[in-house]
Amino acid sequence: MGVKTTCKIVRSELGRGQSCVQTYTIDLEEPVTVLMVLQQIYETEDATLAFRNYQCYRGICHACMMMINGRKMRSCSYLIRPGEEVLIAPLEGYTVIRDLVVDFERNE
Amino acid sequence: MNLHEAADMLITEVLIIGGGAAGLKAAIESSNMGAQVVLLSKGPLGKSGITPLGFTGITACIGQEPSDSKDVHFRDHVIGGRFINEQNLVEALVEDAPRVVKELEEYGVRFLREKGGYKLTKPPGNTYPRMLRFSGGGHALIGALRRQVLKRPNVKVLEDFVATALLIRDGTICGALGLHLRTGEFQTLVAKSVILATGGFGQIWTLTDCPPDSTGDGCALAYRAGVRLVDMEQQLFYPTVALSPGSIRGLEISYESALALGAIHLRNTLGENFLIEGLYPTRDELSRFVFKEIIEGRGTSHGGIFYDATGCTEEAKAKLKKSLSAYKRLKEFGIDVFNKQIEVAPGAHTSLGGILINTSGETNVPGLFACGEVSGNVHGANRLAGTAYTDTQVFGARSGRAAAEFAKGTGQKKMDQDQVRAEVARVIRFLQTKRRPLRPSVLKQKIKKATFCGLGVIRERSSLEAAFQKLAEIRHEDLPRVSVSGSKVFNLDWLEAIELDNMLDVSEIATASALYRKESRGTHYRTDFPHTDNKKWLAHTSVILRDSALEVKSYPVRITKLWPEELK
Repeated sequence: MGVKTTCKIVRSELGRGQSCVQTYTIDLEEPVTVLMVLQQIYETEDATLAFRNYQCYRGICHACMMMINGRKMRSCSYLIRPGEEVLIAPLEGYTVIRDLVVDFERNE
Repeated sequence: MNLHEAADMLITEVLIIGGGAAGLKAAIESSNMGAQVVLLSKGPLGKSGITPLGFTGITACIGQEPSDSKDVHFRDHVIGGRFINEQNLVEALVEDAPRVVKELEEYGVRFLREKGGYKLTKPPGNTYPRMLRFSGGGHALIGALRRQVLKRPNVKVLEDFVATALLIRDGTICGALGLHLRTGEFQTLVAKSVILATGGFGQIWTLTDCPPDSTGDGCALAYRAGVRLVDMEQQLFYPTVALSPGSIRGLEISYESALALGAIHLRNTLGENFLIEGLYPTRDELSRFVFKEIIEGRGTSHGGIFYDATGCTEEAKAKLKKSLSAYKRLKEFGIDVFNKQIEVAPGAHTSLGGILINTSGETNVPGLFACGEVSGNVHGANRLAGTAYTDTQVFGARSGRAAAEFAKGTGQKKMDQDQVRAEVARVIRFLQTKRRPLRPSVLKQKIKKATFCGLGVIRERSSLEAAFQKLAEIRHEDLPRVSVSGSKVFNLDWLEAIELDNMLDVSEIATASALYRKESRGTHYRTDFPHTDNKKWLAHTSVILRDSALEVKSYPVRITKLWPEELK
């Protein structure tokens, strides 16, 4: 049995008003990347969560950049430890399309 | 949704589907010829597709190595492809290779130099050193190509756009239909010529080093439009892809340079180094050796073997730290490859089969071109390291020029509204509520399980038939239940449903082709036909959609110069 781990995700949709924070609780047995946590939430908890589900496996493409606990991070490389609480928000400085998906060509 | 929304239209001369190295090169060449170009990319340019994952080498005979020649390069490539690559395409590949390398350098790709010349390495299957190395790998290469494309005013790029159908009228291409992920709206693109450059379909297998978006979209779209596909059973597996832990799963841990340095051993769970001393195997060969250990019960509980660099000498260590691109990534997760054995297995790496093209990238449908991994007859039954980029650049350029030329000689196309309506309906069906709904991601996993059991590195009739049966069940029982909900804006589930349709088509085609090729050759190995049969099978398997059914046939390979030894 894993350890309960809390993920707070800032969600919004372009042109649809204020963003909100949604809290998900997942079980973790070992440290996993934020990207893997998002994949787990999307696959088992909430099909409507939007994020860029792409991975170059090398940590170089920066497609998965987002704000993790207030810092610009690659979600494919940031490890969450079981029991940790983490706040995930879209990458600052870019137009948000929905939830954690931003338009890399358009700066805010 | 009403039809007005569905038919939101954009008109161009050349439409390019795919924003990887092949698509971008095609865009540059079409644009150089003065054509108006629209390029569609499923994700952001440089942050999607397979190119950003690529290695740091491109093969070309540039005239630096005195003994090397285009003839030897040709010979190596044909032998490497186990004689089922079209030899006129290989001639084009080796002929244009030096030029595209020069052009990449002009775009800003930094090639490594030593002793006044280019640094050249010699991957397995090459007679002489001819792989040029550049800094930054695929990510740097696509960055350079992207900058070239973005500075051209006659190229319009649409990102986060997934093409869902090719539009055909009176037997010729007239454009494509697709979905803007950012708005959830459909758009038709009317074009005089279309280039498919969507890459391969590594995602139909359980373990792959291809990114999540390599779902075979181009092959599936082409197949549904009546385009001929060849050798779809030929899938190159990279022998040493990380399996576990999950954070590094899918990472290619290259064996070539490590093995050349004598820095690694490949071990089974008995601790045996199962590779014959001094052997420098190509990828198809090594995948088979590794897979044999796994299926004969000497693999790990995850289904892998161990990549062991723990006995590496200090001298080799220093060299490997530089050449092993996975080294840095492993280090990020606290894994030191020199202290800990890594669990690896063969993972789907390159789709060798695909759309049949000629030396201009033309398909059997007038006005439709294809280049890069989506095309099928360049590499044959195995691809030598470093030739993927050469392929994307040579045939990207040739397709780009030919498509621009084709567009000049043809009038404005009109699309068939009935086809547009039917294709919109096909994609919208996923938004309808269903009884006992299924998520597309669940079915993707089911497909992977079916192909893993039947269409892996080692194959035979009964397991292939079982896989085909399983895929048919998924199509008839599960697929109609797929339902997605939520906002249409960037709906990941909807995108996955679209990809699922493509993966299912491609899986069936690959399995049917594997059943049809009754021999072993290159990456296709069957225990019930373990030998290469050059008398019967110096041939392509060829698939086409005929009267709404999959038709598989075979036809002889085009041989211009080089025959297998026994047939000379």
